[in-house]
Amino acid sequence: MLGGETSASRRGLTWLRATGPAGIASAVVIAAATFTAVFGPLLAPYDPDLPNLSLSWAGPVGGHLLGYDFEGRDVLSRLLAGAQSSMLGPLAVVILSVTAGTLLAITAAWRRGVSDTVISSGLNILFAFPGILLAVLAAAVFGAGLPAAAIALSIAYLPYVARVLRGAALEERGQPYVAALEVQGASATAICLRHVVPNIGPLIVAQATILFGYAMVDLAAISFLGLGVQPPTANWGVMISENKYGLLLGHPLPAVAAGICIVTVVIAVNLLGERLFEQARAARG
Amino acid sequence: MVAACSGSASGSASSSGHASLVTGLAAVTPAGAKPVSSVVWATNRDVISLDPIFSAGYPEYTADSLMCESLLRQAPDGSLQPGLATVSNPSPTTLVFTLRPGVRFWDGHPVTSADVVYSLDRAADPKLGGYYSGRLDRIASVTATSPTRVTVKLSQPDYWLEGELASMPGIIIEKSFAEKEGKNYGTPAGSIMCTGAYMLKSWTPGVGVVAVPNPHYWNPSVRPLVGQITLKGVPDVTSLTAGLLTGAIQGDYGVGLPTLGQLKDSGTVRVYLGPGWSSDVLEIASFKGVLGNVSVRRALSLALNRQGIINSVYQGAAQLPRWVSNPGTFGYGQSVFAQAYDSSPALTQNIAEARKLVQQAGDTGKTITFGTTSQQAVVAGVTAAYQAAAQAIGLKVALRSVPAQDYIDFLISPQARAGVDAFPVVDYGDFADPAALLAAFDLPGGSVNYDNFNVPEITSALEQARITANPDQRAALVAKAEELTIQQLPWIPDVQPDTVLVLSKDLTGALSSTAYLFSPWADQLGGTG
Amino acid sequence: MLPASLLVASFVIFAALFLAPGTPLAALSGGQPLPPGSVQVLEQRYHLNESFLAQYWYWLDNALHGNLGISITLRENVSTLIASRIWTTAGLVLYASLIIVVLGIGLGIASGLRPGRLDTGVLVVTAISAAIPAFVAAIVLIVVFAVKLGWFPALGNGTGFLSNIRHFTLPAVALAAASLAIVARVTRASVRQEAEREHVQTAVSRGIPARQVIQRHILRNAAIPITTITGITIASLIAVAAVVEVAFSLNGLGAYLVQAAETKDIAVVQGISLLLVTAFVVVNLLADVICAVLDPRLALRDRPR
Repeated sequence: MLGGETSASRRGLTWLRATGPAGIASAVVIAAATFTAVFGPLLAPYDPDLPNLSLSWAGPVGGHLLGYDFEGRDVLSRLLAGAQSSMLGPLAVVILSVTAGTLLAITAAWRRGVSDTVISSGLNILFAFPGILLAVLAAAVFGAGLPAAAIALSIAYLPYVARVLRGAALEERGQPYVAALEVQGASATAICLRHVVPNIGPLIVAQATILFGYAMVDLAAISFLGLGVQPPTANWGVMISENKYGLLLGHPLPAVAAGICIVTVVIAVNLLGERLFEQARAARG
Repeated sequence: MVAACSGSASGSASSSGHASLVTGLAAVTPAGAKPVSSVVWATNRDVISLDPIFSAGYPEYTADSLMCESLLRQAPDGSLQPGLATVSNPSPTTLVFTLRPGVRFWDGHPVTSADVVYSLDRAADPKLGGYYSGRLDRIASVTATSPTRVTVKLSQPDYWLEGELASMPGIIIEKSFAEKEGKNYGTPAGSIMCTGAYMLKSWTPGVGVVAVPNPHYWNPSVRPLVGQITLKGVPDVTSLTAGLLTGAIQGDYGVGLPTLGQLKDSGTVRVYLGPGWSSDVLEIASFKGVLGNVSVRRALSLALNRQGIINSVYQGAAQLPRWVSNPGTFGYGQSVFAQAYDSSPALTQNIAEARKLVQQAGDTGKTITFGTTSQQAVVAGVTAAYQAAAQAIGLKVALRSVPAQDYIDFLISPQARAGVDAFPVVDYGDFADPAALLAAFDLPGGSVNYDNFNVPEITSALEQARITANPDQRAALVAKAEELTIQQLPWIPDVQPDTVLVLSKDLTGALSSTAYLFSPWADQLGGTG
Repeated sequence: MLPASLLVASFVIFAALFLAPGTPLAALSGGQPLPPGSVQVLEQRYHLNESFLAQYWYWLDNALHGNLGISITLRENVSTLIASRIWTTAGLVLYASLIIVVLGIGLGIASGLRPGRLDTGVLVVTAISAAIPAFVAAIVLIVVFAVKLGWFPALGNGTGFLSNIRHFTLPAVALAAASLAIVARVTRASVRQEAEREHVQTAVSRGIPARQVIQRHILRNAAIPITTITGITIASLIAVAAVVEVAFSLNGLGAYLVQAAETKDIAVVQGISLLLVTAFVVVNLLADVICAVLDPRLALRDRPR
C-alpha cells in the first residue's frame, strides 16, 4: 500500500466478495441477526413475556412453531425479542473495547517514550484479569445485569485489542508517507485520523468481528452464572439457562433453539472475522 | 404419589406412624432392613455451620438434626416427645428437665446437667450472637439442681418454649469439648460433640459433611444401618436431577423441585410425599401501596389460580390452603385444630368477584410491584401466577427481579424492599405449631412483620396462647388467630407444600415429614428388605 | 510486573466488594433477619464497621504475613479453604490443556499438511465447536453421556485417582471444546502458511526428506504463533473453568469464587482472585518464554520502548 492511499478509496463490496462464499454466507447471517435484533419485538407473533403455567413445556402447535418454554411463553417470540439483548450486549462490548483500544494503541505508538511505557504497563496489568473474573466482581458491585457485564468484558478485552493495534500502528508510523506528511507540517492528530486509522482499519474491523463472537459466548456464560441479563428479559443465553432442565424432562426444544441461535451467529462472525483478518494481513504484506 | 405404607409395622422409638389428620399423607417411610455401605444425600447448597446456634437454613438443619439431639424431640407428626430429657411443669414459670439415664456423647462421656446448662446459656446469650437468643428471652435462669436435673425459671409463662427446645436452641452439646474448641466449634476448622446415632467423621467445605454410625448410641432399639452418609450441596437443579437419575445421589428432600415429574417416572428413585410444615405465601412488604387496602389483598387472593401453582410449580406435591399455616403443623390439640380448619372456607378462585372488589376500592389501573427472582423455580412460578391474577383483576404489574442470591435481601433489608409491594416466599416455624409462623408476622415486632401490621384481636389471641397451659385451649386461641389472619391477609397463602422425599429405590426409612429438619431423620434409613 | 498486578488487583477487588450494596451477613441468615445482637457480634468480629482503608490495610498486612484471612460464611481460614479446592481446578485445567494440546495441535498439523477430506472435516467441526459456549457443551454432555448413556458420572469429584479421571473427563471435554477448535484452526493456518513459503518449496525441490522439511522448516517456524495461541487459550481456561465447575458441581476454585462474590465473602474473593491472576500471568509468561526460546528475536521486539 503506497503513501496517501487509504482503504477508503476501495469502497464498494469488493472486500466482501473477496472473503469467498463462506464469508458472504456469514455476512448474510449477521445481517439477518442484526435485522432481528432491531425489529425482533415487532416481529414476534405472541407476547414474549406473558407466562401461562398451564402451557409449560407444551410442544409446537398452531402458530407456536417452536412450542412453549418452562413458564408457558412462546419460544419463537422469545427468540425474536431476545435477539435485541443478545446482539446488543456483544456490540456494546466490541464498541467500547475497540474504541478505547484503538485510542490507547495509537497514543502509545505515536508518542512513544513515557506515554508508551505507561500505557503498556497499564495494559500488562490489565492482561492479568480474565473477563469472567471481572464480570463476577462487576456484578457484585453494580448488581447483576447487562451494563455491568458489558463494561467488565470491555475492560478485559482491551489489552488484547490494544496490543494488536499498537503493533500495527507502530508499523504505520515507520512508513515513508508519514514522514513526508510530517515534513509538510501536518499535525499528529490529522495524520492519525486521516491516514493511520483508515490504514489499519481492516485490522480493526477484523478484530472487532472476532471479538463479537468471544463477547457473545462470554456473555452467555455470564448469564448462565446468573450475573448477566436478568430474567425475565428475553435473551438467548438466559433462555438456555432457564430451560436447561427441560433437556432432562424430554423437552429440549426451548434450550436447544436458543443455543442454535447463539452458535449460528458466533460461527458466522468467526468465519467472517477470520477471512477479514487474512485480507488485512495480506494487504499489509 | 403417596407412600404405600403408613409405617404401622414399625415399633421404633422415633416414629409415631400417624398419618396427618388433614392431608392423609404418611410422615414416615417403612424402616430400612439391610445395612448399606454409603449414601450420598443432597442439600440445596453447602452446609456452612454445624453449630446449632448459628444454623439457619435447610442444609444446616439437615446436618444438625442428623447428628445432634435436643432436650425434647419433634415426632414425625409434629407432637413433642421427650428427647434427651423429659419435661415437667411444676408451675407456669418453671420447667424441670430430667435427663434420660444412659445418654452419652460420642466420646463416651455421659450427658450431665452441666452440659444442658452450658448449651442453653450459650443459646440464650445475646452477647454470643446466637440466632435464637430472642426466642429464649423469657428464660430468667437455668440451674442444675442435680447431675441429671435442670430447672429453668421463666420471667413469664411461655408454652412456646418447649417447641423451641425441640429445635436448634435445644440441642445439647458437650461443655468441655465446646469450651476447648472455642470459636472453632461447629466450623470447618473445628469439630462438634453431640449425642446422635450418627456422628461427624469429617467436614470438608465443597466436598461435604460425612457422618458415620455412633457405636455407643444411647437408644438400643435404634441401629444405624448406613456405613457412611455424605451431605453434599448441589445448588443446580439440572445437576441434582442428573445425579438422582444416575444414582450418584441417593436421597434428597426436594424443596421446590421442578423436575419432580421426571423423577417420579424414573427407574432409579422413588418419590414420597409427606405432611408439610411450611407455607408458600405472598409476604406483603408494604401497606402503603396498593396492598394497603384489605379489599385489594382479598381480591388478589380471590383471583389467584392456586390449582395451577400446585400443578405446574409443585407437580402436584402441595395442598390448597384454608389458613396461612400448613395443617401439617397441628402438633398438638389436633381435634380442635382439625375441626376449626375444616369449618374454615376453602380459598376458591372467583375472578369476576375479585375485579369488583378492586373496582369498589377504586384501585383499578394501579400498579403492584412484585419482588421476584427467575432463578428459583418456585418463586418464578408463583410470581407468574400472581402476575396473571393481578392483571386479571385490573391491576398493572411491575416486577423487581433480582438474582437468586440477592432474593434473601427482600427478607432482611428494608432498603431492598423499598418500592416493592410483596414477594413470594416459602416460610416455616421452628416447630410444629401454627403459632410459630404466625407470631413472626402477625405480632408487632415480629421478625418478618415488615410494615407494622397490628390487629389487636390477633395479637391478643397469640399472646394469650403463649401463656396458656392447656393444649386444647391453646389450639382454640391459635385457630382463632388463623381465622382472623385469613380475613386480614397480612400474608396471602398460596399453597401448602408437602414434604418431598426423593429416595433411591434401594433405600427406605427416611422421615417423610418436615420433622426431618429438627429431629433425627436417618435413624431408620437402610436398604430395602 | 506480577507484584504490581497483584497489588492493583487486590486493591480493585477490595474496593469493588466494599462498594457493593448488601452485606456479607445476608448469606448467614437463612431467610430470617438476624437478631441485632448477632449482627453486632459478627460485624465486630470481621471489622465490618471500620473504614475502607482500615479494612484494606488490615487485610493487606495479614496477607503479606501469609495470612489470607477468614471466610465470613464458614468461619475458617481462607488458605485452608483454597487448598482443599485448588487441585480440582488445577486438575481440570491440566486435563483440558492436555486435550487441547494433543488434539488441537495434532489435528491442526494433520489438516494443515494434508489438504483434502480430513482438512475439510476439521474445518467444519472446528468452526462449529469454536462457537459452542462451555456451559452449553457441559449441559449436552451431561444429558447425553451421563444420564442417557451412563458412560460417565453426572457430577462430583470422585475419590481416588482413577475415579477422579472418570469424573473429570466430561468437564474437561466441555472446557476444552471451544479452545481446542481455535487452537486447531490457528495451527492449521500457520502450518499451511509455512508450508507454502519459498524456503520450504526450495527445500522440497532440493530433495530433502519430507520429515526433515516438516520438522525443521514448517513446524519450527509455525511453532511461535501456535505457542502464542495455545498459551492464551490455556490461560483463559482458568477463568472459564468456573462455568464448567458450576455445571458439574465440582468443588473447584472457580465455582467457589462465584459463590463467594455472590455472598460478599471478601477474604475468600481476594484470595481466589489473586491466585487466579497469578496463574494467568504465569501461564502467559511461560508462553512468552517458550516463544523467546524458539525465536530469540522476539524477546527483543516486544519490549515497550
